[in-house]
Amino acid sequence: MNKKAQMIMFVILGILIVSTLLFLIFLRGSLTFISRGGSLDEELIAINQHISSCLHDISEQEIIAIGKQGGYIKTLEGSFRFYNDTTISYLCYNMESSVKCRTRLLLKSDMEDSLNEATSILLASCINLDEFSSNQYIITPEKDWKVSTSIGDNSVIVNLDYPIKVTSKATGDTRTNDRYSVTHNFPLGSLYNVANRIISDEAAIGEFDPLPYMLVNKQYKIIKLKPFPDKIYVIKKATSPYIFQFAIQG
Amino acid sequence: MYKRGLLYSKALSQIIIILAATFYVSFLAIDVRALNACCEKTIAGDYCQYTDEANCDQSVRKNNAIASCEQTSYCQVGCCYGLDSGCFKSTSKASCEVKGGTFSTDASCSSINECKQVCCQLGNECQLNTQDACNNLADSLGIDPIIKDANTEQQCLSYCKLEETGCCTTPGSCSYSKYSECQQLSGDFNPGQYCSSLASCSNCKKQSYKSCVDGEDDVYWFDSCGNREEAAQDCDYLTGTICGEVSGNVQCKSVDCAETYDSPAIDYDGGPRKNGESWCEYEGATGGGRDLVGSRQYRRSCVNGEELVEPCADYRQEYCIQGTLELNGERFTEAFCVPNKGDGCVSECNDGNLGENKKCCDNSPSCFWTGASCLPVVPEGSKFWEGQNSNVCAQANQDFIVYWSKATGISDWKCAGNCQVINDNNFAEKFDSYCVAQGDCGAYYNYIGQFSQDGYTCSRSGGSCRGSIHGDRFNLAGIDSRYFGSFENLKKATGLEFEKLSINDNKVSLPDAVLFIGAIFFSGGVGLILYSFFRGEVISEYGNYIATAVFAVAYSLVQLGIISGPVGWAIAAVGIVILILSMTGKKDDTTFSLSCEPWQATAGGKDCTKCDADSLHPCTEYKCKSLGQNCEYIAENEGTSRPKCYDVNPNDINSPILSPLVSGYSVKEEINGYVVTQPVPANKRFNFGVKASELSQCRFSDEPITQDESTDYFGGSYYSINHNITISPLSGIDYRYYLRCKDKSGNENQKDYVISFETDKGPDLTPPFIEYTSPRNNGFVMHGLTNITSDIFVNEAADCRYSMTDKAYESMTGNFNCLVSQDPDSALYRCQSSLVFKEPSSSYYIRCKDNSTNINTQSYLYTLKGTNELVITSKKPEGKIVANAQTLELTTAGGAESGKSYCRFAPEDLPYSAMIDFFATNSSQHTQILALDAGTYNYHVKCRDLAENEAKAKLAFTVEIDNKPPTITRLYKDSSSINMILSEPAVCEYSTKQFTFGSGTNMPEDNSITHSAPLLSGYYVECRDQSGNSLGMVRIFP
Repeated sequence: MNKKAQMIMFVILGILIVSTLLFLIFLRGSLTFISRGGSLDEELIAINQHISSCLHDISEQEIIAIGKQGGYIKTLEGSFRFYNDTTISYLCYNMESSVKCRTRLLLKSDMEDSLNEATSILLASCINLDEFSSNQYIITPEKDWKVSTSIGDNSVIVNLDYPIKVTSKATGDTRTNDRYSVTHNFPLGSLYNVANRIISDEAAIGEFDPLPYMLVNKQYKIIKLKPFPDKIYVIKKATSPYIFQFAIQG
Repeated sequence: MYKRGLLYSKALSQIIIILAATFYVSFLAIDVRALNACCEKTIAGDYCQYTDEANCDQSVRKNNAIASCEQTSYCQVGCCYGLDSGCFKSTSKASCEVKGGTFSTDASCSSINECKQVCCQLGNECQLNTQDACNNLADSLGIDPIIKDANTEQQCLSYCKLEETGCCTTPGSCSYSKYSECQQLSGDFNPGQYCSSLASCSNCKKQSYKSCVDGEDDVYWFDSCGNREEAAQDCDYLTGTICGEVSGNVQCKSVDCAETYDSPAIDYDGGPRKNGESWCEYEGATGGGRDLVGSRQYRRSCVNGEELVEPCADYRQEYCIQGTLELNGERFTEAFCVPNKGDGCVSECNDGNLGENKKCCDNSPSCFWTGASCLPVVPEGSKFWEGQNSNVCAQANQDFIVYWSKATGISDWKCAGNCQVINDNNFAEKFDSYCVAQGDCGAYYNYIGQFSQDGYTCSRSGGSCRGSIHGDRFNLAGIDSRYFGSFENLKKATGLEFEKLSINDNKVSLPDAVLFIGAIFFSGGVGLILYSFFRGEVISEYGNYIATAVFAVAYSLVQLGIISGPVGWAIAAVGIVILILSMTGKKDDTTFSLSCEPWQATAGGKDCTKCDADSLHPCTEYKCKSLGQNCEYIAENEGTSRPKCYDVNPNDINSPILSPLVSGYSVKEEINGYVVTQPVPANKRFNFGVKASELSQCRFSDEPITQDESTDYFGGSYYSINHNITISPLSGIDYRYYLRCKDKSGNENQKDYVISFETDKGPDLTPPFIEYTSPRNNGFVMHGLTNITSDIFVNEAADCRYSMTDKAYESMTGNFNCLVSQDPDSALYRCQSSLVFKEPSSSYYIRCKDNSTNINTQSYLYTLKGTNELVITSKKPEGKIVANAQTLELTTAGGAESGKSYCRFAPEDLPYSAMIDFFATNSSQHTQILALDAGTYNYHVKCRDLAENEAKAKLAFTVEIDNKPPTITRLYKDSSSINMILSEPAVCEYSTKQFTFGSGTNMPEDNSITHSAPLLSGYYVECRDQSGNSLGMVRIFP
């Protein structure tokens, strides 16, 4: 092999090495891109977890409270019985010279509205997106959050509509998440139905006997208390510690 | 960082909540407002609350002229339907309408088709609901409902026994659920498959643990993710087993209760009970009026293997009754808490004759007949510490007048009437039993066995209830607790069974105080009458006949002497001596006033903690207050495990300091007592006593008090600061009262506090004085009465007579029956007579003669006025009315004061006491504004005047609501005026510029359809009809 040929070989080899290096450099840039894209997702997951955790904790606390307080989170003066450190709402008011009572008319949708309002307010003390803002990301809530609760027989689903955009300062890439949802296995709906059944009897005849009801509907346990002059019904399911309690004004 | 932030947020929110709650509770404790108005809506957004007027949303309706919300048109109760949750009975109209419901006045909803229940199947879900609610629910879920007829919930649920279940997978979770639930979660449904069998749920390991499932009898396996799997053990509710936890293991367990609470108070409880069985639990003696103060009744039951307790309403407003059935040779007990309606037994079933009373009593399940009186089976409890039951207890109050006489001046005194009062060693106890049966009255035990003497008091005219008169010893000052047996007897209770509450004569018997009392009066009365006839020694209306008879006998004896010579004279002389001796016989009486007062807890507070010590029977204010004078209840701790009853003053060791309490007399204080330094006038009421430095209870004697002796209460058994009594002291006597007072902690002054005074010693030259009368002088008599029992109260012992014309005492023919002894309460002497009354008024001239033969020289003119019948002369509204607000209007006439009376109303025919006062009344015009909706109404009204005359009427009317404003039907002008004709009568105003109605110039024809105004260049006119509907501001250019 002559010198010229050797030179050509080295030139070609050099070109190949440079090309390989350039390719490797290109590849490294791509890997960097992929790597930086993964961090944005992680950031979004962390934000999701934070918001979901807030939503879970706060809505759980409110759902437990609404059960203990007879379907109301805000209890108004004269509308509850203070018992066992709890403001237990009257769901039936006494009537002059009658053993019957006047239904207060608590709807499931009222409870859902109360839960939405209370959760919405308390979320402000929990959700802190500033923690996630850094030199790398911009976190932008696109509009105010909106809580919507759906009370089912055996569960309560709480949805949070809160569109959030996470933008990488480095690349300008964005990720968004609109909705967060948590499910609490609290039988609020079915306990509310039992409460309505009790109120119906109290309003119509002024009395409800839990014993025959529990013998037929054995999944429920109803405790009837009588702190003078009111009555308090505590309802729970045998398989859940969740309680719904309310008062009848005496 | 994130976690720390979250923790920080949590901590901060908790602090805020605690602080907010603290202020909220404080707010609740402080802001107590009057409840005086029914708000259609409160400022807080709630509907139909009876609250302070300031809480009402001023933009909507409120009514503060009414006693309850149900009486307003906007908060009347009815059926609310058309809502997503079905039909709601007995709901306020405003609440219903604001939530979009449809309101019907049928409060039971029974006539509303949409409220009839059907079985509503939505996918795999079934529920018994109204058709209306079913459709709403189906709409919200986007499922077509399947509606089936079902009479019971069980029948409906059986339709869905075959509902499809399976594993529902969503990103990141697996759950075993129904199809419909999975749909809500937007998950993938795998029908019939357990999650542990799916590859996508590989983290869920099968058969991880056993547990129970809602509404299922069997024991089920669950995977490690908490999802239900196949049955692990078959249980059968019908044969008596159900899934449950036994010693920490989940397995089939019996639905019966193997062991139940064994109360020491009852013998029939404890041991095993069947599922569904219920029985009564008592805290001590019950029935026959024997229930212990502070006690409560409970209904226990066995439900699905668990023993539950339902307390009957506190203050024994409910009591527990039970019955036993025989089922397949086994006993099965059923019990109920029933409302206690015993409060009317004494007041409503003791007015008529024995037969009527018994019938009334037997018709009331909460009452029992003692043979002479009607009493509550279980007496209701009350806030005795506030004296809430004073009136209830007072129903048992009784004055017993014991009579003594001596036939001649040389014979001994003998008890002549009502001698049982002093001879029966247990007379006080028998009275107390009757008193106790009224409910938390008298001397009795509380539920832990403390006996309190307080509540029973005895006072006697002129002295103590312990002592002797004419050689007869008596002691009615206290109650011997042994009369009730030991507390061990009262701790035991016999169940109140159905049979004992039914109508028969074999009911629980009480020591028959009432029969006894009746017998005393009967025998005493007969004895007196006979005595009057045969001795002439007891005041009576027959006095003149007796005098005539005595004169006739004496005259006969004289005639015998004249006719029969010396022998005859001898016989006549002996006879006259005997007659004179018999004429010098004497009489005496004394009144024992036995008072039934609210039961009082014993002093101190050492037992307060016993209230919380019994975890099975929750501490209540009623129980707490029965344990000691110093026991205070913490309402805020109700329902918690924190102490609720405590000793408010555990370190009090000082007895009360006493000081004189006399007005109008100077006193000299001594180390332990005081002396009234000037003589007290005899036969005049004298009020005296002591003032204590703290709440205390005082007792007294007319001789030094030894530690354990029973003594009379000084000024009642209540704990108070001032203690005083009124007496009418006799002439020439030195009085001395020995007092001991103890505070609520039981600290009593160890040395007697002595009050001394003396009365005038001069001769009694003052004739008697009539202090007051009943009925009062110049008072009114109910229309139609012809005989009136009248009492006059005289300041000293006297004989009184009356006549219809003014004449001397000796010439008066009408007699009052006067007692020798003072009335212990008023310190006056009562004389009674039945007066014949003639319309329109009758006047009686009364004169009295005292024991010193001082006679009134002038008569006391006692006048009673007759009354006309009270009548309602006009009433409104009637017939059809068109108005947005209706006014009930009554005019009364006649009666005692030309129609002046108190009127009440009610939507049904109730007793006067249960009706509601008119807003404006106590005159002859009575008005009440109502805001009624369109409909037909029947209101009952009753009016009463001072003489208890009553008039009643019924107002029947139909309301039509006028929402239509008037319209102008014709408008024209003439030479001098503009004229307007409206579609209905109205009031019109005009102005040349815009104005507010009320400030314009009135068009003179009020409430007319024609109106006119002077001719001007232009007008603004507004007209309003009688309902206030406005035409609006109209501009007219003539």
